[in-house]
Amino acid sequence: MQNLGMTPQYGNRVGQPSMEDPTLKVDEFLKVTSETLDLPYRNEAPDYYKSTILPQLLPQSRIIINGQPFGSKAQFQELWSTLPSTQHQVISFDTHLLPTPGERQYIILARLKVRFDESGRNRFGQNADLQPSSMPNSRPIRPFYSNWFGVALTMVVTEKINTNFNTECISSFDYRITEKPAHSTFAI
Amino acid sequence: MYRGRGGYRGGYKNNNYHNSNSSSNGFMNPQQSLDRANAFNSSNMVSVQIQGWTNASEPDLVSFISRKAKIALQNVESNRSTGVLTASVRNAHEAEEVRKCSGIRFAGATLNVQIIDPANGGRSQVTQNTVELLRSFLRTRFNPSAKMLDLTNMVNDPTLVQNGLFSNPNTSSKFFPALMKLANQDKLDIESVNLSDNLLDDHCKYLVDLAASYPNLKNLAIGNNNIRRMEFFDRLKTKFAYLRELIVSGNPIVATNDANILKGIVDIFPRLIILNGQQVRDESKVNAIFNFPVATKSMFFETPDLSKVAANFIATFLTMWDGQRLNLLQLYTPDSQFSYQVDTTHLGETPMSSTTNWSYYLSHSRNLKRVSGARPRMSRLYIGTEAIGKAFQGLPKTKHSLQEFPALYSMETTSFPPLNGMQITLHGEFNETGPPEHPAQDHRPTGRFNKYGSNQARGGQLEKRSFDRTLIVVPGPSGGFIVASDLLLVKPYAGNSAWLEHKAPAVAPIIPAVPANGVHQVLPNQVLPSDVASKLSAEQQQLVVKIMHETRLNLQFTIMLCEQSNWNYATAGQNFANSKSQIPPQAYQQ
Repeated sequence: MQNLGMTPQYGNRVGQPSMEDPTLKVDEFLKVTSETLDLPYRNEAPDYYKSTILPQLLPQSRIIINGQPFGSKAQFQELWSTLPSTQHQVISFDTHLLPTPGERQYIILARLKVRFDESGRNRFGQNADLQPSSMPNSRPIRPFYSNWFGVALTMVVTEKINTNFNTECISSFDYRITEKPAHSTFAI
Repeated sequence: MYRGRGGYRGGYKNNNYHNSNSSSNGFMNPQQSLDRANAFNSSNMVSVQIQGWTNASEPDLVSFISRKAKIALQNVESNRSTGVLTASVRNAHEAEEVRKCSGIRFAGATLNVQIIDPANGGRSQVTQNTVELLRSFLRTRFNPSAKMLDLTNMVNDPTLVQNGLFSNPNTSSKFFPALMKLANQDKLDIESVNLSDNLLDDHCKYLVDLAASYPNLKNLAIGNNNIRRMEFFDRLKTKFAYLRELIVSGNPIVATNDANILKGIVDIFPRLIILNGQQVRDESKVNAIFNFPVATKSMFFETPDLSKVAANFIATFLTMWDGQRLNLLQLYTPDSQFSYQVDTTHLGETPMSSTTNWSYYLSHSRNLKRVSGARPRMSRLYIGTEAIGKAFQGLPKTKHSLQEFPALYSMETTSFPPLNGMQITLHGEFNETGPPEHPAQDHRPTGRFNKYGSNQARGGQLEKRSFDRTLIVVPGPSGGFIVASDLLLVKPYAGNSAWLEHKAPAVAPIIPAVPANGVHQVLPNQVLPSDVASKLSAEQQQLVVKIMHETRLNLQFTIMLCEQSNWNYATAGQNFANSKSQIPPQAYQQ
């Protein structure tokens, strides 16, 4: 069997596995990155808000959403900002650390669930009504979330995440909705 | 006072009592014997229903059936206005023989014979007639080309009124749910419903029934009724998520044109664009707010070259995984990594199975949301061919159907520059066909922390499951491949509806070309609109696709032809040939 000289650096493979856990930070990284997909808009400048969506993407990441490729990080952020409010939860994941030349890379396969605001507003609070409501509304409008959709997320991430989450480190981001609920107003 | 239904009131109990007494000696008088013989005979009788005979008389039809099928129709009842003739035959075999007359030309028309489901045997003739009456009413009010069901002024419809459907509150309340149920059963493709001029009031539940049968309705008119209160609309919250146009004019609630009332009505229907002829929302913004902004594409390949390589690789990989799993190890090296994770969260529209059992997977599942600590995490990661081989043998035997039914799978493939390879992510389903060759030993401690212990002892259960799988494949020696990383995620079965690509369903779909492998496989979900496909069985979908392809009829007329031919391919062909000269041009695919 050919040895490619890319033996994973998981400590002493001959004897007991090292108790160093290379996957330790991945859970938190997934949590942080999925939260950026859900960030509420707080009247920042729209361009600034868009830049806060998944800032960990490398500028020329391979980004695929439901089988459609995106040319750049900026294009993805522009599109994502048009969505209504979302809520993501990571419910399962696994990862391999590949000893690639230079920086090692994590391959992450995660299962998430996501739901979408069905109150009729996008995340900037805009609705589609032609006539503004004549009734003053002092209370903020709460999201009215759909049932859960299922997502399979595959990412390639450099080992930089072990020291810093706020760095451009995602070279591949493949987001595929794999389950949709029986009843939802939001459609894919 | 509570009386219940099973008490001793009324004559039922007494009648039974006397009957059992009268025959308690085990003998019957001649009249009893005759009665029992007649009862036995009647109990085997099967009803058939015949349509397409009205160009001739009832006796002509009976005589025709007698000549063709050598069967005598009994208890014949016909209704020329509905075009339905019902009759009895002696048994199921005779019923089948009569049904074979379906599709035969008779007096210039085509006969349509249906066996009335024995499950409906309990139905009285009155009920049966009512069903036919409603079906006939639906046919007269449904415009298939406009997908419009015009139910205006039903309360004054002569046929409905004469048959007493609005004669008392009881029949009146059952009428509309029954009508909707039949429309659903008959698979009427309805986008618009007009319920104007029907005396609907605030207590009327018609729209709730309508939403249950047609939740994706696009246009609705309920003008000129007696709706006074907002509660009528409140009941419809979340019910018509796709309603685009609504007409409520002529109801007291909008008599004053109060802007707040109108706004309240608009708010009930999230995709409503037009209310009483006035545009109330920007349609493009509605679409942006309620639709995921990326059109789903089931397959993505970064380059055409990757498409060929990855598709062939995955097809071979899955064939070997199902058939000779250990032979796959030639693709793995001492550096290759494999692990699998299980997530049992049920998501999606497929009903949850109550018996799902994960015991073959759980003990070595590397779902890192659940497994913590370096040692447990590392012990579930298999590195090198020997460890990976053992892990492969610890998983159930499977059967994937990527080649037979590619629509059940979706895939993304990109290059993986760090290793000059490719990254393949596959989503889909497999059937478990046998237990693992060598079930994995559970290395967890027994006792109260081993919550899956009892499951394990019971043995696993073979099921259909969904999965996601990511492979990093790099070039190997002699132009071969090496799997550097293999991540498998197993989860409850959820079908493929999330990645079905939606083509414009309003027009007849285009039949795809014969697949590249030269085998003409009919993949119903790829060509039929999902709302149509969901109402047909797999066999029916295949028949529709086949007949559309061969006749060039559009979807709607193809389904009509199939229904009139009892979903029989040969009969459909015969009927098509017989009626070809009478088929209008708009029945064909444009």
